[in-house]
Amino acid sequence: MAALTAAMFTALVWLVIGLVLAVFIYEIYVIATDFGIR
Amino acid sequence: MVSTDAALGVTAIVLAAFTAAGVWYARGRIGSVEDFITARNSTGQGMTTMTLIASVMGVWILLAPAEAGAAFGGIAAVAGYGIGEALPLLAYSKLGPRIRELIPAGHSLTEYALARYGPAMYAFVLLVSLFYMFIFLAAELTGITSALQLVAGVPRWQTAGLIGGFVLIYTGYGGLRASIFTDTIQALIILPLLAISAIGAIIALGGTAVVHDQVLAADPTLLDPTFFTGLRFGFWVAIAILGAELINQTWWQRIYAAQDSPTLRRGFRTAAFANLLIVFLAGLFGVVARGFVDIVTDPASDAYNASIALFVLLTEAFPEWIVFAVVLLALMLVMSTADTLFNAIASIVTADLPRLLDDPTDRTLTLGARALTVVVALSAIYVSLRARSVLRLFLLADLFGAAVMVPLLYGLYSRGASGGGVLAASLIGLAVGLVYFPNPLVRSSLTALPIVGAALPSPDFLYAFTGAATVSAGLTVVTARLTDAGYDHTRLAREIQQLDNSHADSGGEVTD
Repeated sequence: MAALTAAMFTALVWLVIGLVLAVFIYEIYVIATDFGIR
Repeated sequence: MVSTDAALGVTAIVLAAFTAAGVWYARGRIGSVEDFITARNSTGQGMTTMTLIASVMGVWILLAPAEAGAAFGGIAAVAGYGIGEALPLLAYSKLGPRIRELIPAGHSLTEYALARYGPAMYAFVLLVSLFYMFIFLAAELTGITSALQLVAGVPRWQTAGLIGGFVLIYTGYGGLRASIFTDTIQALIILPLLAISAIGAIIALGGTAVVHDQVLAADPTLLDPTFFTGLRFGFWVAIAILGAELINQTWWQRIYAAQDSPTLRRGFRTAAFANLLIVFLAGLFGVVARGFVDIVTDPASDAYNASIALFVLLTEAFPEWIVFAVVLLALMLVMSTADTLFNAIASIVTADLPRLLDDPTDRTLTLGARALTVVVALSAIYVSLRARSVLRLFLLADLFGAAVMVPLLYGLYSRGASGGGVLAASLIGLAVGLVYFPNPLVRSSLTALPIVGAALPSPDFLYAFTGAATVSAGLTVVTARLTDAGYDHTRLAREIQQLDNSHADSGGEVTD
């Protein structure tokens, strides 16, 4: 049980960090489009 | 501990760089007072999203969500905090297009309150909105000065003076346009910096498995997403944030700054998602802190330090490079929020100047907006240095917001809502909230009242916020049905005009 909750905690932490970075990369793409750079 | 000189040096360099960027961008773009306070139809989806993230994500995210995680219910409380931050943005993704449609030439929520409800409700909304935004601003400066004092020993007046002074230069010169441009760059730094700080923290602490085991050993409820105390906190704090942010002028400015309604919708929705993630990640630092450092969570104790849990963890358990990264992050967060609030508070008064002055010219209004920005900045610096208990007033400002939000915004859709009805609903909702509000100042004032004092129920934030929000909302709907004012919404577009006498694009057909 402890191993399962540890794995879930690990997955949650990396998911949130990954999503923050995904939003960052997506926004760079959108801003580049806004400014006609892409 | 980071050296004072290094922290001050980094702070000054970062501030100077953003001041130069803001002034450079605004150069030649401030043609009228409209550009200074509204920047109408000027931002694409990317800039809209970024400014919405940077504007509200202040240094408070390094304090309050971490405190919630450490002391008020662990991961469940942090999740509620994150949802609370997302809700107002989702609400405005719906309300924003309606506001642009009804009031295409608008500037502020107070001019809407005046046109829709009359002078009494206008005065109440003006007071509540200014109170909230000013407390927010002063709390930001208090937060950053305390943080830099803790991690680098920087005297508070030096931090407040540097940040307030530099931000004032570019906001006073370039207004909303400079604010949105610098917000965009700041958000593009905040997002990866937060992620890098979190990754660095996990590595420094020995990995997620070690973190999990340590936190579990400290208190198993911290990692329980169904922990009732945490869920309860998450629920009321979500209402508190929703109420406060719905009366925040910042959003109204950005509703008009967005290029068009579809841009606005996408920008607000993306920012809602991003802010949820940011607050959740910042809150996790508080949960983690409990597993590694001595965090005192009893508010009655003099040693209570849960409110600075992240910084206690930072100074005791992390290498210097992570401390620097977080200091830089805190600086970005406070700058982006301070410039936004300087301009938002100045704009709310500027939009009212044409009624107070005798036919002012555009030049007079622009000058007035700049002068007001200076006054706001100096006042906030002064208050942040003198009144350290400003954070206590934050929840009181949230309570006012919870009591006003529905009565104010219901009029965007209802023809029946009247000024007297919504004002009464707000005041009664506020009274219900105050009766349950745990603030010592409020409590002692109410206890001193005859009859009321003896009948006061036990204080509880949950009942205070849900009571204020539901009673004011219920009474708003009931009074609207009873009075049925028959308001014509097309009046809003006729009565609210641009300040420089040019014309905004019509929002199209108005539907009730």
